[in-house]
Amino acid sequence: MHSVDQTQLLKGVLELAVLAVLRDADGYGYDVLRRLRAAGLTEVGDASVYGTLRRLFQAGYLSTYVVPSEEGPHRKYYSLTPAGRDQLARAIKTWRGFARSVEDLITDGEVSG
Amino acid sequence: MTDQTGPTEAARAEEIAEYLQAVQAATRDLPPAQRQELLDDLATHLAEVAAESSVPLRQRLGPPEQYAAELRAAASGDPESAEVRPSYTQRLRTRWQRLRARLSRLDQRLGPWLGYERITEYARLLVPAWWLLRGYLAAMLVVHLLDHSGQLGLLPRLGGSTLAGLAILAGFIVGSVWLAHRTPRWSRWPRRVVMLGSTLVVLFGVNGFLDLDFQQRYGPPTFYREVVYDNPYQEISDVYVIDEHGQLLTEVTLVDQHGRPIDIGRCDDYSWEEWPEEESRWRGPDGEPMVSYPRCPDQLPWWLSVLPAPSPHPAPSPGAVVPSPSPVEEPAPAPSGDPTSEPTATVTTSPAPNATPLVTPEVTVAPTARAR
Repeated sequence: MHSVDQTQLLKGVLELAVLAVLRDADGYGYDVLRRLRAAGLTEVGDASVYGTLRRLFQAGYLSTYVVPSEEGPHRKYYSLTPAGRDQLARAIKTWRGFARSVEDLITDGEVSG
Repeated sequence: MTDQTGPTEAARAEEIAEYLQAVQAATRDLPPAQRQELLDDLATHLAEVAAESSVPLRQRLGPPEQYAAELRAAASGDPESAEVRPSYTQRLRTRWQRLRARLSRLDQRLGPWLGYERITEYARLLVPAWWLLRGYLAAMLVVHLLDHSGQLGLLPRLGGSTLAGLAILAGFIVGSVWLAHRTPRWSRWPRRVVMLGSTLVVLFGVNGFLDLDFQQRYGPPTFYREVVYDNPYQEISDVYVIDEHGQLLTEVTLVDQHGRPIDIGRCDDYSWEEWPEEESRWRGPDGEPMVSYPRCPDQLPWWLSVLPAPSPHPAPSPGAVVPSPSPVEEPAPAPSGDPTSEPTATVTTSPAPNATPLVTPEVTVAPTARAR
């Protein structure tokens, strides 16, 4: 059940998580995935990350550039645009409010129940 | 193939291409623009993923259909559509993709026979020719539908005018090429309509081709052939042979210049069961029973029925009414005949005495003829 839960929760916050990962450093698709997993979001799927990247790019929150590599394929790096930084700030605000409410709800329940 | 440390570069590229193709197939229902956007970088991305580890993509990313569903959900921002239902159609699609992959390998294997990397690579060179053919066939089809004046030829003609037909042909060829460049950008349904139209045109073309082939071999369909009505003998129902004395010769057989028996006339009042002497008739060299005249001795014209009885030394018979214009045949000398019994026969035909007499060139009255 655990995995299902995280997958369900991820759906809502993946956009935020991807933006947050790219705030610190630009990254290519697989790199973003690896950083998400390293951060503890182990259930995140490749297709979800790639799809989210495409959507954020489409919305103008990300820009891309290609970095040729000696071994292996060229890599397409994503970086935040100013609009992306604004969107991240809004998402963080929403998440904090949401998380606080849920946290309060849980805590209250534990106290009273 | 001998690489034991991992899949070769080419095999990896093929694996990526195959996976990509499967994902593409699973997103075929998306609007083209959205689909294009979504899949634009997927090849690069899959290559990145593949570069990280030698574990097969299917193992790491799951089945491509599931990958596509997840991708679509994430890209649309609608988590609900991420629900993966491996429905019946989904499984069918998977099977279809496997078949396609197999065909693709066959394609690659057979390509070198033609001197190309793939058969489809060669086929692609023929595609512009197909556009021309499609334009031509469509022009033919339209002309055929508009103009019922004649049969289908090879050049379009409208109302008998080749010039109008050629103008239509040029228009359709240009249209077909234009269409070929436009269609890939269209959405699903218009493209389907084009495909259906092309299929119809091809069916029409195949049909027309087979038609022409048939006509080349066997001539035009028989119902177009004119029936010959000028057979002067078709009215003849019986033949009477009369010798120089006006005597009717019976059991006479007529043969033509090749020695073939002449078989004309039908005895309408005799049914085949009653047709009597099949066995008793004399037989020709090939064993076929010969036809002897008159065929209907019961139906002699009145003026023949009054002829006097035969006599060994025939005298001129005043009763013989032989139409004067009727040509008199000089029979060929009989090979083994008694000169005295060699008759000079007049061949008349039964329709009516007033009818123009039958002229049978080179008719030989066989020596079996004897006076009645």
